[in-house]
Amino acid sequence: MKYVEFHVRKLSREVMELLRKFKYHIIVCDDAKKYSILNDITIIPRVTSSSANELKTAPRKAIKAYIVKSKEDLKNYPKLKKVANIITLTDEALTRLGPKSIEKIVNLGLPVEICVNDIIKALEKSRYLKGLYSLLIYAASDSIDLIVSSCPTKNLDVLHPIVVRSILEELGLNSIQAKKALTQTPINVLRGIGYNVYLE
Amino acid sequence: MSILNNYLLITLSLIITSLCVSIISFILILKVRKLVELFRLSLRSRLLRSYIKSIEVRKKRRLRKRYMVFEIINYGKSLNISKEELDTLMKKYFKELFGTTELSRSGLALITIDKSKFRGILKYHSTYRTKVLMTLALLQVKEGLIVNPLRTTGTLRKALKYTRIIK
Repeated sequence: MKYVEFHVRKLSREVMELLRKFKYHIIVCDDAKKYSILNDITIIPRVTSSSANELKTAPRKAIKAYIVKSKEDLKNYPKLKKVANIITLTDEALTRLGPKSIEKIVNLGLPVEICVNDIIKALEKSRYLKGLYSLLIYAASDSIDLIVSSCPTKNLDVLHPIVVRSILEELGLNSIQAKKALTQTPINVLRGIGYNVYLE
Repeated sequence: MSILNNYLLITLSLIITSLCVSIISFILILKVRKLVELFRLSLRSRLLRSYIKSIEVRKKRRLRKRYMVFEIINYGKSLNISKEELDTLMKKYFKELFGTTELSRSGLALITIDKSKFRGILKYHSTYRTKVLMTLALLQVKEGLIVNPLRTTGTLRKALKYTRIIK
């Protein structure tokens, strides 16, 4: 089974090696400027921003991720569907966003990305993840497409896909939904942009 | 006349026997229906339901042991951690995440650690797989120990075999 790492913040040699060892087949990277294949790993460029104007000027083939930190970021949300490919929720959003804001995001119909490392750090501090739990209710009923990534900047942040899947299962998703968040949903987003990618 | 009488007698006797048969069959059907109804009711009964439930629960209660072969990624550096230290660290983070009761139920234990191959075997009960893997994630984030789960087996013999075989 091969997986997709949808958000690599900083690509170094060590991170790349570890991703290959953990059977990640496709990675989407903030650092990359164009589509390339390196050591059997497909690298796809990505632009992550909290401003819609910046995403408008991004390259056509790059994945556009709109960052949501608080409910103020969702003010001009009808425009977002035209500009962004996915919505990324930060650790602040996972704790602060209420059910109404999450409902707004769900109504947009875009896939939502969450970072597992943020969840682990929040769990470690025993924080109540209000936004995450209301998002997971929608994800469990299949009314939202969930993408999960470990968002690595250094090699210690790279998590094994089985570990990521088990975290999702522990949070309340079933095994199929957890697997889908690492394989099928990211692939669907990439195909929607025009990449002919597949997982063996 | 005598032939006609005979015919009449035969038809009458046939009618009477058919009536008898139908009455008997009707009585039998009623009895069987009652029996079927009783069987249906017994299936619905609380006692039977609770018995079936208890069997299901007993099945669930049977915890199977699992052995996970894992690899510690250390980039060629020597492993400074001992078996006891790693075991206590794993148990500490498991306890931090899920509590003492879950830790004792999970049966989590580090069986062996091969320092030359950076590999080890972890034992736990099958239903606690996701929790053990989550603990490994916390271990990586907090202690900087990158653990790569290689294979899960049902017997220690197979696990030991895989620690030697897997490249």
